[in-house]
Amino acid sequence: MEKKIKVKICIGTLCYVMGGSELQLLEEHLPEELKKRVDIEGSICLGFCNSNEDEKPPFASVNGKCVSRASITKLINQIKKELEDGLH
Amino acid sequence: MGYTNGAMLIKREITNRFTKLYYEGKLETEIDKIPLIISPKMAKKPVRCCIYKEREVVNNRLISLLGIPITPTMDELMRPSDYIEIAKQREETPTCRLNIIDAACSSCSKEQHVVTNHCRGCVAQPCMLNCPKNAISFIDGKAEINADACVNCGICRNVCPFHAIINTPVPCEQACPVDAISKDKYGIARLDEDKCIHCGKCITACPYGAVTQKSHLYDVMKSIDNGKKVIAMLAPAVIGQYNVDLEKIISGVKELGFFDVVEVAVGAEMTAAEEAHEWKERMEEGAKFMTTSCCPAYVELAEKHITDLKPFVSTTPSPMVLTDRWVKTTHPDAITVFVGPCVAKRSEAINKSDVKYVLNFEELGAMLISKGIELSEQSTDVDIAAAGHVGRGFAQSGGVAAAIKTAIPEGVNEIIINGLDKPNMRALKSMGKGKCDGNFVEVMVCTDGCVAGPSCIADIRVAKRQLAKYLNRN
Repeated sequence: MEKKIKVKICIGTLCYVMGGSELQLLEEHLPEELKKRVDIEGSICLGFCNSNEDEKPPFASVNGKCVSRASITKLINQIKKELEDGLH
Repeated sequence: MGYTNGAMLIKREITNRFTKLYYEGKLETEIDKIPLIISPKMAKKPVRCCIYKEREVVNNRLISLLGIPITPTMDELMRPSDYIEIAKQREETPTCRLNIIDAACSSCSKEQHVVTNHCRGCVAQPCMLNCPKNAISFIDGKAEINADACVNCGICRNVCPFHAIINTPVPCEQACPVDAISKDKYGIARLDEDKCIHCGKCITACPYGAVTQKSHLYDVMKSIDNGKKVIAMLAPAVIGQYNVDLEKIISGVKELGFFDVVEVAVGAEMTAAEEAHEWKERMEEGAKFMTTSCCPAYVELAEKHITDLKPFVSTTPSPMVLTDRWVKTTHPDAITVFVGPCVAKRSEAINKSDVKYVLNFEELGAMLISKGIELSEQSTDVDIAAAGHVGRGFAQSGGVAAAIKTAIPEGVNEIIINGLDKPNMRALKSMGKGKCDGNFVEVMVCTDGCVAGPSCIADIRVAKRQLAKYLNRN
C-alpha cells in the first residue's frame, strides 16, 4: 500500500493564538486527489517554538519537516512537494 | 479575523514578549530591549523603510500596552521603561480612546480611482461615456482620470471590460462606518473621539497596524500580584476561541491567579429575561419596536449618530453589567475584568459600568502563553452550571433574538442587523424615523456577531463551528 504523507498540526495555545486556527480547516481544503494520501493529526507542541528564533509560529510538520508561519496554502504546497519527491 | 494578517501577528508577538517579561520580573530592566529583538541590527529586509522606524513603532506599541495614550505632543525622549512607574502608580482605568501610532501610519494617499497600464484604449470607451462627472478623457489612446473632477463613484471601474481601473481606498477611512477617522494636514490618520463608536473596524483594517488599544494588561497583572480579589468574566464568544472546551479555558484562566472565573453568559440570561419583559411592556404601551442594547458599539452609534433611534433602544443592562452586579452580590470588594473580543466594551466598562478592566482574547492568550499554561492540558473538572446555552448564544448574530423568542414564543417579529455595512446603516437610519417591518431588532456591529469581534484570535469559520459544537453538546 502507498505510504501516506503525515501532517502534524500544532494545536497548542501559542500556535493557536499566533494564527494557527485556520489550520483546523486543512482537511476540507485539500484537493480531492490529495485527500486519501494524507494523514492529518493534531499535536500539542511540535517542539519547534523553542528551537530557533527565526522560525515563527504557527508550526506544522509534513513528514517530519518543519513548516513555520504555516497556512493552508503553504501546507498543501509542501504536501505536493513531498509527493513529488517521493516519486524520484 | 478572517485571514492571516502580518500586522496583527507582530502585534501579538510584542504582547507575548511584554507579558513574558512581566511574569519573569524583568519588565523594568528589559522592556526597552524588545524593539531591538523584534528589529535587530542585522535584520533581513525590514518591512518598513528601516529598522529604526520599526523600532519606534514597537516602542509605541509597548507604551500602548502599558495603557498610556499616544499623542502628537508626547515627550519623545521617554522610553517604554519610563512609563512603567506611571502604570504602576495608576489607580484609575486607562481611557478607551484608541491610540494612533504616527510612526506606523503610512499616510495612505487619498482615495482615488486609477487607470492602470492594462487599459487598451478600446473602441467602446465605456469608462468615459458612463462617467457622470466627465472626469475621463482619452490621451494617447489611454483613459485618464481627472482626479479633481472624480467623485469615486466607481462606475468606470465596474464598466471597464478589462478590469483596468482600480480603486485605491484609505483602508481605515473605508472601514469606519461613522466617518470618525480622517487625515490631518500631514496625511496622518486622526480619530474624532466625539464621533468614534469604538467598533474597532479601523484596527483590523489598517494594513500597518497603526491603530491600537490602550491595554489594561499591566493593571490586571499588577492587581493580581498585589493580592487583590480579581475576578475574570469571560464573554460567551470565548467558547469559539481556543480550540478546547470551555471547562479547560476556565481552568486555564484560573491558573493565571484570578480569584474566580465566571461566564458572562450568566448575565446574558438575565439580560434576555429582563429584555423580554421590557419588550412586552413596550408593546403593550404601543411602541412600534424595540432594539437590543447588548452591543456597546451599536449603543454608541445610537447615542452619537442616529439619535432618533435612542428611544427605541432597550434600557435593559448588558450581559457584562448584569454579570458584574451578580459577581458583586457575593464579592462586593472584587475587581472585575471583562474578557472578550470587543473594543467597544472598554468604552462601556469605563463609562457606564463598575467593571474595572477589560482584556481581549489576544491579551488573555499572551498571559496564558507567557505563564506556560497549555489549555488542552487543563482539567475539565470545573463547575460551569450557572449559565446555559441561551446566554452562550449571545456570541453570534441571531443569538439574542433567539433568546427573546425562547422567553416569548409568540408575537416576536424579529429583524436582524448583522454588521454595520452601508445597507444596514441605511436600514437603521430609517428605523430611527419609525420605519420598521418588525417589532424586535437585534443589532450587532460586527458581522456574524461577537465570534468575529476585532480582538478574536480564531478564524471566524472555526470559531463558529467550535461554538456550535459546544452548544450542541448538551
